[in-house]
Amino acid sequence: MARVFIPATLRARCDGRSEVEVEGTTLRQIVENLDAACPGIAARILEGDAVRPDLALAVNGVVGAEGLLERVPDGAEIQIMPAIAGGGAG
Amino acid sequence: MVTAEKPYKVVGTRPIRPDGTDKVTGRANYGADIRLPGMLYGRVKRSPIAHGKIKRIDASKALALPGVRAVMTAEDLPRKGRREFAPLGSVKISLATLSGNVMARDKVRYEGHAVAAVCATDPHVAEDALDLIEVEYEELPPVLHADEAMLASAPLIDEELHTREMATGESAEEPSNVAMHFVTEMGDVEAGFAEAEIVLERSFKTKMVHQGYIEPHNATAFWRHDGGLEIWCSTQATFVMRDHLAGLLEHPVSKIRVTPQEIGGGFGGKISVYLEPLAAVLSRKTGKPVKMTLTRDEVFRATGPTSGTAIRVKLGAKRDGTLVAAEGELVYEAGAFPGSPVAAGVRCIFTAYAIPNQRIDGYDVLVNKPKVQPYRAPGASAACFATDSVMDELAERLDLDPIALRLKNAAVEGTRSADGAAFGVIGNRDCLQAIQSSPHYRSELQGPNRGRGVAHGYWYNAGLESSAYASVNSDGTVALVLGSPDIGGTRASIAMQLAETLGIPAERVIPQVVDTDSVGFTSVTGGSRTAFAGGWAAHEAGLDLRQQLAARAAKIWGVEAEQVRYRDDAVIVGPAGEDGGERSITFTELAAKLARTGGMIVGRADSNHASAAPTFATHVVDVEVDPETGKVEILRYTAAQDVGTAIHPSYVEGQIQGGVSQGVGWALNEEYRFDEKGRMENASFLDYRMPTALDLPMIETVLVEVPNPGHPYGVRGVGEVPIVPPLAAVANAVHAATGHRFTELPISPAAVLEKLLPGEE
Repeated sequence: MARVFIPATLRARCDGRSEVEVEGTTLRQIVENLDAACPGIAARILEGDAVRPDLALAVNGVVGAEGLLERVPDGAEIQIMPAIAGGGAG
Repeated sequence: MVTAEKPYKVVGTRPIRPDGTDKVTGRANYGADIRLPGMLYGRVKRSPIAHGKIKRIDASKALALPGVRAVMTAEDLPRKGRREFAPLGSVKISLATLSGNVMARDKVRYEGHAVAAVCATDPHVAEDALDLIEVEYEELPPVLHADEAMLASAPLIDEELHTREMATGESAEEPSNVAMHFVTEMGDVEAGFAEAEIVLERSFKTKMVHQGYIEPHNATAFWRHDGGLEIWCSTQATFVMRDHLAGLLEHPVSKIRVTPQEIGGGFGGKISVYLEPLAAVLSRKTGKPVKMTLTRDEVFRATGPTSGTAIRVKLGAKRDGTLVAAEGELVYEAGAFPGSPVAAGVRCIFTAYAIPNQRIDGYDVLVNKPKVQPYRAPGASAACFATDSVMDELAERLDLDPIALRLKNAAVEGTRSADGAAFGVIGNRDCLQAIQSSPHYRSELQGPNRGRGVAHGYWYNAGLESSAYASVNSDGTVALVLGSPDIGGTRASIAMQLAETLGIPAERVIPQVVDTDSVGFTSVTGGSRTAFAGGWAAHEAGLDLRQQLAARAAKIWGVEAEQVRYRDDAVIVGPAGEDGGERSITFTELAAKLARTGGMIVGRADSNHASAAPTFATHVVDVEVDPETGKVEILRYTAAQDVGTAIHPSYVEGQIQGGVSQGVGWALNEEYRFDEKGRMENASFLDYRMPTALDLPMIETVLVEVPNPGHPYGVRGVGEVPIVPPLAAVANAVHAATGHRFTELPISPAAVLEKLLPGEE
């Protein structure tokens, strides 16, 4: 079971809940199961067969490199956040 | 000052940088040094107006000028759709934005926007040809400030842009200059403020500022007759450059090779493409290599500074200083195309503190100014300026020590930020305590017109993909091949991590940064990721070498590989021989035998680890304000930072000192000044005032080492967070010196005098 934190503007799709618990061992399964709990939310998170270009899904606060294939350990926390880049130091 | 002892032989030492001799003797090759047979010289025709429709471009007179070989416009570039993207690390960049920024198609959106490019046999001929390219515009009113751009009545910079809600992906029906709206919310903000015993709400503004790297952008392209495209340029991101060129030019990735030259500074500003696609098209048209170099004036007007911002912060606290609620509204100028760092500002604005109830709104807003690009901890400095100015006032109102107030509220392991993510092992409190106990903070500041300020900042750091190839040479050295352009000493810090893994001296690893055909994919040098991810790749390549070397020793000795062990002191040991003694051979001895025992050995790694850890910084600064001139002098500055493990402490200290210097400039002097038509008025280093060595004291550093448990050597990125606190620290110090709060930057002499001498001319 993973705990998904729902951004404020998507909570209407989840009966106002800020967190939803869903089953899944990959991010793809998490999104599919989240969509079952919060109908229509997957269409907001995905574009085609991938996470929307301006969004990122973090597992325990960390955005991985494997997209929807990212493994989700039991008890993990999933955050839906903007995709953001860094600058440079020199 | 380094605060921790480390269990390493190489990591934590200060070897001489491998690129040092070439750089101090002038032998290092930068992009401007490129000379190729038959090379042509390109220049860019730029818009003299900030906003307008392109009615006509006529290059016939330019093409008739002797020596001119070709002219290009946006018509020579494929038209890209809004939803076509190219990768940039974990982010995707719109190809329409990239293409539209490198060359205007139908409209010019800022003064300096490229409208055409020309190449000629001589750079002076190319420059003369610019005046012969006729461009007719229909001038439109410019939108120069974000607040004005957000009004429904504002002229539209992009008639097809509709505000997009980040979380839902939904777009507004009416077009707008607001590209994106971000919301992050945690807890019950209304209830939090109701519980507060003191509430402060303040608004802040910062101006557009430039990274100010010394070396202007440059690119040389050669489009060969077989379709191969060679690029030599100054970039932070060779592979990103290659991929973006592939998208922009619709040319196969396999046909493009990008060779990075030495880079004279980037700070985030040398990730994007500017000249490369133009030089490539001109080379395709002429069949000759084409070299292009920007002037300083063009760097200011036509490359990417960071956003001007307007930020509102509201904090609610108990009488004892406990924060109970926070609200933030961040409006960031994106420049002429979407893509300000407001999302990072939203992520960073309150994250150093544990605040149970938060709401943060962010707006990405188009204005008729250059398209902004990343600048060292993009978006975080302005956000910290707002939050930590209010924290300073809160401490003053509650009669609390400013460090004690921050310590009371500092996020710790397990604290959640507004997006729900919980911190792992962090050095947040450690940084605050390091300043609290520092000789600087414990000293007494005496004298009139002097003041002390503190501020505390956060940056999240990135991981991403890096590759490393390590070849053992017969003399016992190792050639290390990397794909990360070295903008801050990463060649040395990555080589040191390989040396540590192999147990050999740092000087025995010889690092080299190579082109995109010569090493595996390596993401951008940025996001404070390079020493973290490059070091990890080098470490894994080293582990690969250890295994192969042990196997080779086993082969030589005629024993099973499992019986042989590579020790951390670079001695390979095996089971006892016939004489009863333990078999052993040093790394150097074995290296000399490789060629005759099966061939040389290469260790390889393509690493992609998502365990980059965040970092924090606490700064204290003393200033003196001249009440007659308004000039603010920095008397003393100390910066403490959680650096994870300081691989090469001198470089870490240099990163901190560099970040502070840039932050002080941002706080006190730097700003893009525009006239009412959106024309930049100070596009030179004479008029755009950056701090020099004469303006700053020696910046003292305290390296707080809280190793990142998600890295083999505990590395955290160090290069970006030092620019986060200076804006607020300096503003708070000026308040302490003058009694006036400065909510707008820069705190220039004129701005100081305006406060000190009200009503006087």
